[in-house]
Amino acid sequence: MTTLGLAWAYLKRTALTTCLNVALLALGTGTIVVLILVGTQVQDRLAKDAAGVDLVVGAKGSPLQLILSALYQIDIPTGNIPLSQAQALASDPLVAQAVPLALGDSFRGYRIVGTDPAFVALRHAQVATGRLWQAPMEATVGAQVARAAGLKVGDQFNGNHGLSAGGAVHEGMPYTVVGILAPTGGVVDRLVLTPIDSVWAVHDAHHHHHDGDAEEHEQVTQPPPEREVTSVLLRYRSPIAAALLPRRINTGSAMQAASPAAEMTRLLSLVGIGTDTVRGFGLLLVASSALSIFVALYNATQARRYDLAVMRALGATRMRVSCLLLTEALAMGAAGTVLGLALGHGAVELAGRLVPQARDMGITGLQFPATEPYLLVLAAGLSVLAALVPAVQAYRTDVSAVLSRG
Amino acid sequence: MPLIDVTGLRHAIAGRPVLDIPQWSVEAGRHCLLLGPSGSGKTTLIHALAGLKRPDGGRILLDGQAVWDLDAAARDHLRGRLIGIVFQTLHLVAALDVGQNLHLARWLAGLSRDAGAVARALDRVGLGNRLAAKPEHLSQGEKQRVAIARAVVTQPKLILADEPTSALDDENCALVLDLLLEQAEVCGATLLVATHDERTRARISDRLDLPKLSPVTEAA
Repeated sequence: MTTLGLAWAYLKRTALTTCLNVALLALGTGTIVVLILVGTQVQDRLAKDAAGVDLVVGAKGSPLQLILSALYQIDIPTGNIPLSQAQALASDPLVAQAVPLALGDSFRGYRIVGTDPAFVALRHAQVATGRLWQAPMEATVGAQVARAAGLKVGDQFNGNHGLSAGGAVHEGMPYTVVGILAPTGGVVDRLVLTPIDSVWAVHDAHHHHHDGDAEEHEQVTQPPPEREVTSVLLRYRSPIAAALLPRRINTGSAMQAASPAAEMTRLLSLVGIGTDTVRGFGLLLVASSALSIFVALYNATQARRYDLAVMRALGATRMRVSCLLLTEALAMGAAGTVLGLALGHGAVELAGRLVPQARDMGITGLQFPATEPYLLVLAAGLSVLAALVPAVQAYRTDVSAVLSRG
Repeated sequence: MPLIDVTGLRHAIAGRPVLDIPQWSVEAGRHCLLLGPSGSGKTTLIHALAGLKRPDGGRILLDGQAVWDLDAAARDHLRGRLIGIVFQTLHLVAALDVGQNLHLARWLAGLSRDAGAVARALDRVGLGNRLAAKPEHLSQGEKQRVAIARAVVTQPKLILADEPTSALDDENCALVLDLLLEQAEVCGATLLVATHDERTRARISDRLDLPKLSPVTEAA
């Protein structure tokens, strides 16, 4: 016989109440675990994808949209900017590196990005198989794209018009896979990289095809349009550029400059309100379970007054009967928290495997943030708090009076 | 040295004196019957001896130790080690089976786990086959026997039985009294039976001392 064994016998005796309390605590803990896991991973992911890029320049519009579309590839671009202006940025003395991006097409929902090979180094990616693109219509694909589409070096595929799956297929202009990138856990894994010339060529052909009939009738000769890119990723040459360049671009050109750090801070503060609400809900569940444990133990103490008195008569000290109730509370707290941890990690892992967006973000339940042990401490603390009044009651029980009442 | 040595013990409930024992001692191995009507102070005396109810005054020496001079924890340990109690309501812990109820008693007395001792105690009361039964599946008579087995499984020096027969029919009353005496003899323990049940006097008074304790026995 041990205190834990005795506590277990009592918990088993009231199995339904015990299970409900444990489930309530598990739900609260699980909710918090999901928030911690997803929040941590999304923030890490955002920070990782923004690393090395000081400024994003694109068409005027929402700066957050520009960052999301150019850096994280999860929103539509604000528009295009003239290639000449993008090139001018590259030669600016305040700029150490400028990598242009041309968006417009996709392959099975994965974006086709026209860019320089410098993009690969900027995003800390490496070629796993084959090589980087060199000529137009050559493509080096991210690890996730290759895996999802079963692409290998030498394969060909056609792009779809637009950035989401389901757009018109660009027939007759196939891309040839010349390389596959190693997984980075970042946005590059979800991209098809190709020279900017490829994007222009595909769209020139697309427009030619659709405009053909009209041109035959109108017989109007139009000058070739100026080449455009969607955005440019910049690295500053020196810290002073941070103070000068964004303002100069935003006030002195038709383009806008957006700082990833500033926009992400703004985004996270916006998202944070929602996250805080859900976290508050999770804490409310945990607090409810503590209250429920308190009620269960309080009632148990009343119902078991004679049991506790008999134990005292058999030689149990006051401390031992108090410890019994504390142990029951701690056992429920520990079970609920461990179950909640398992539920939270399981749910996130499942979402990471089954939900495409979560899979794209590389969300996994197999991460164990350093904050998690605090959840155990929190649950243990609340459990002890819940058991405190019943334990004190048990401690103060007048054994003789209880036994005399029968 | 007497096992129980009481000097100047007095206690009042709501101003009414229920215990007033100038001197009383019981040698180890002797058995006593405390006979008196309800409210005559029998349970108060049992609880005072067991260290559960502090008397208003007087001194109780149990196996040479002054019960009420000990601190609470030491008193609890003394009770667990020296005394086995049979309650009027029996009260077995419903969350535990019969065997576990006996293990619980040994554990609370600070004794090591001894499945043999538990089995033997149950065998002696004729319930060797009910080790795994839950209390709610036992008859009243069986519960009484388990309660006696629980009281003796710690090999106590003193067995206190508070109204052990009041809820039993004549046949079971006789069986329980015989069993209590038999188990006390087996353990070499002193048995103190407190009861208002006149059947007890007829059944076993020739085998127990009937101390003249005022006001307990005055009432009797």
